[in-house]
Amino acid sequence: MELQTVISLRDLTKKIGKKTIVDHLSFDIHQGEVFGFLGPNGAGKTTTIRMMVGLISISEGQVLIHGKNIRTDFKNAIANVGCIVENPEMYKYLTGYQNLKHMARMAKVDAGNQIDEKRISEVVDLVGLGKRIHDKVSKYSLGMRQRLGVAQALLHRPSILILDEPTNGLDPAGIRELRDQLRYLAKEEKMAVIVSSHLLSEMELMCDRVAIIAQGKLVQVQTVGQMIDSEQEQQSMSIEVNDVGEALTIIQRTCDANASQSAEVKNTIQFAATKEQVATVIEALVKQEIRVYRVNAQRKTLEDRFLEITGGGEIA
Amino acid sequence: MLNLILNENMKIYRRIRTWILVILLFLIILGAAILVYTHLPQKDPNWRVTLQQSIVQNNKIIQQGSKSGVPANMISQLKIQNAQNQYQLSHNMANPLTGWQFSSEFIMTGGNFLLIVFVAIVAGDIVASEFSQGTIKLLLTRPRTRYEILLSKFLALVIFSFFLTLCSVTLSILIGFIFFGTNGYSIPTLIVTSGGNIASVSLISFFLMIYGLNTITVIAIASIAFMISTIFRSSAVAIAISLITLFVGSTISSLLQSYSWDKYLIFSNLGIAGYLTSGPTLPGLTLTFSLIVLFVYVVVMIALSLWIFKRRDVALT
Repeated sequence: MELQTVISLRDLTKKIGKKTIVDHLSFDIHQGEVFGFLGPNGAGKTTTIRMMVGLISISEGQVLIHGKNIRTDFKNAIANVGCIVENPEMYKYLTGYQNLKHMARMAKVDAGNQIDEKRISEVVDLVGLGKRIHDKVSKYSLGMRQRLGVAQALLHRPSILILDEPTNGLDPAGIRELRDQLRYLAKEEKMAVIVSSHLLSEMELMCDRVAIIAQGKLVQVQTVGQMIDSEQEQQSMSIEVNDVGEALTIIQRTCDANASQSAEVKNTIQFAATKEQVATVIEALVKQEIRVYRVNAQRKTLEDRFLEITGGGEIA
Repeated sequence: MLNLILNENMKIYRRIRTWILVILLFLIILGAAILVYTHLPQKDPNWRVTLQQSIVQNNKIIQQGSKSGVPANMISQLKIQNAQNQYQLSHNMANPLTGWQFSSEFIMTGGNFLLIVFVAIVAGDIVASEFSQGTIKLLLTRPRTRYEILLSKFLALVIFSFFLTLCSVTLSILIGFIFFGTNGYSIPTLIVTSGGNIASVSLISFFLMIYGLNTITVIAIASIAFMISTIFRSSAVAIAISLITLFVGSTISSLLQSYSWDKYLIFSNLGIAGYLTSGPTLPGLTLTFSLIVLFVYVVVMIALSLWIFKRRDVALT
């Protein structure tokens, strides 16, 4: 099934003075996926998001939302987007409900998409703010403000949800809740959800695809599955045996010259190998009558991969 | 656009600060009334003689006036005083101060500044606070142009100026009635016409004129605060600069009196309500002229705000 593209970035560039903050980013984001922007601080994630929602001007290139240019057709383009840029800042002296009413009044005026009180209470129920919605926002916890932020972003039934660093400042339970909510919106409501983060482990659980950005440039766009498991890639392995010395020479000979004895765990050797090489090593060890107690593949996380790609995540 | 103005109104009137200003206004009017009431002149048994003497003296100054260089607005004031004294004598009124006069005196002497300060506080904050609270991102990522957003804020400010003026009229008349009675509706209210003559107008039209003209001054100062608020995104700077304009403006204006372009400065044209009671402060100024100058200033300041707001990058906060 061909996935419908909802946002296209075409050579998106932001220059401030002579400095290029975002450098010719191009990629597409599809309906029904959670798409992550990944990069170290200062990589240009927030700048990119701010250009996508029209908060800052675009130096070069285009952002197309459902084919509509954010620069030349702002109203029609942004009408499809709900967003939280950085923290969910709301009017503290208003109640949660008044805040939502405020946002409802700002929606596009057309007959087909009226945001009435029914819609407001629908969203309130969705984010679970029912009991506290008539309290002033100044009395809300950060988690509740985050929920209100999500509610205002969903109010006008957008097909795209953009969240900049959504997990910032949330406790683990809050993060989990938000993650489930975003995955639900993507899978069940067929929304395109775009999140940015430098919390790699989070992105791994949340996203379908990620764009890795370093120093304003796109490094690559990959699905999370692809990034973690790759047949040809060497993975780091640990193996527990009864005769470490003998085993080490065998492993160094057959696949990894850099194999070494683990400093932390007794009788354990660490080495890098592809899937096939692991089989070869085990076969050789068994032939030499070395007893193999345990073989662990250290599952490569997005984090390792990310650090590899961005070269340790140095800030430009 | 109507929805956006509703939003801005909600953000003004749902804030406690706004109601603190209204309560403050009430307390200050009450304080003024108490002060005036306790300092009312003792009943002078010879008040008729005193008034007659003052009329004679004033007439002397008025006659010599044009030759000896007494300012024109001073002469106008004396003429008005004479006419009022005459009315008191012929109607046998020992004390002319009533609730109505208290209200008009209040807005002419201090109340006008109070309204300007209060509106400037709201005006200086209305754009800057969206930036400092980060809520500007909510406004600018919705299907509305930046022009619409900023204009709705300005219009809400104009509405607020009228609202506060209305509060001031109502409160000062009510408090005036309580302290000084409800009489005096028929005491002639005299104004200086554009030709420099004295004319009598009805109390209602006098109220409409002084409060109306004062509201225009309020809006002009509010526009300064609004523009600074948009450019510097700091409410403190905006409120400070607009109030400095108000308090130092007339001094600057009189210092530059010898230059022909002095009358085109915004400072020289802010005191329009005073034109009614004592005439223009500079030669060559008329009410129409000042209204046009203020209008042009406000339009230019709002246009500049729009231009800057449109181009602003809402960068990392």
